[in-house]
Amino acid sequence: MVALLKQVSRIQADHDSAVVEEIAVEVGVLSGVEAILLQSAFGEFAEMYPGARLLANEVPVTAICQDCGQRMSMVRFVSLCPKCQSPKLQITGGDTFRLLHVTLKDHSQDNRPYED
Amino acid sequence: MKIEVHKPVLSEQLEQSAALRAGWTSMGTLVVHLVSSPGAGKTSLLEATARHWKGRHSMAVLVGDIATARDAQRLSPLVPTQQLTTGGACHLEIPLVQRGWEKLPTERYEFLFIENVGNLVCPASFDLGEHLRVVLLSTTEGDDKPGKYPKMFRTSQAMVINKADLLPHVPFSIDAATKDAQLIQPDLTVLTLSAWRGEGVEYWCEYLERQRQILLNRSHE
Repeated sequence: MVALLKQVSRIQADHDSAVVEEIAVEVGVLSGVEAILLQSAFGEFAEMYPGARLLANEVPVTAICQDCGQRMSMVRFVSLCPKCQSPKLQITGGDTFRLLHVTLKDHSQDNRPYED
Repeated sequence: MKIEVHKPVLSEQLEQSAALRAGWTSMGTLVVHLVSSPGAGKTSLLEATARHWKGRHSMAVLVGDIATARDAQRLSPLVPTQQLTTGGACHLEIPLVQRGWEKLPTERYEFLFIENVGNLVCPASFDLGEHLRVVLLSTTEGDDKPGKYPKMFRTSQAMVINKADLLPHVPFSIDAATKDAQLIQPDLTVLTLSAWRGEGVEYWCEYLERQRQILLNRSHE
């Protein structure tokens, strides 16, 4: 969580300390991060980002069997290939925790001239 | 305004660990990250390793602990050791490792061991710049641990089963633990030993010597 907020703060600093509206992350099933716990931890830092949302997109594990070439996608890691039962699965996705984007409040909208 | 990032949250740490690893590779130092649950025998294995290599191979240890310097006190009469106290945190991270490394006597070590805090969960997510991650599993813990802590076993290159001298007294099957671990990590090397009695320590040391030779060959290519 600290590493995530560090990245967000850096982005914020690079953009005139603009208000953070949304933080989107990708949480792989094998990343070691639980989306529900991440949301809860983010709540503890709510004062730092008033009104900001944390979007946690959970990503399934994808793998390819090194023996038969079968490609698979699973919401929970299964260590055997469903086609040939080989344990030689090369993980191709779903093992990372990534910051996807940060949405900042556009200051220019605040300064828009009054229109009748 | 949407700022696209698409970077691992730990990208800064990954860059730092890659830089550390490159430095150690250029020095010819094989860095071994030793992980296990508490009490599996990480410090005992390092004591046995230091005794086995005495006068033949140089090694140093960075040892993590949440509160005390007890492990460092055991190891420092044998080899250069630095205690890394995490102040309650459940795993080591790069800044602590880097500081510990800088405090070690400036010598060229053939082997550097990083003994993490006893924990099979969090340390799995942190690359400390090691060349080799070794997970230690002791016969008193039960042979069902690999499947219960898959990330740790998936990210390790070797599993050392310790306390083999207790096998006649505990319901632990080396075969079951090996099968469970290799379902998760088919390329996992498995070694069995008793650090306390010294049995099998020579095979562990030979394994590390081979791994260092592979590192040296690779870095000269």
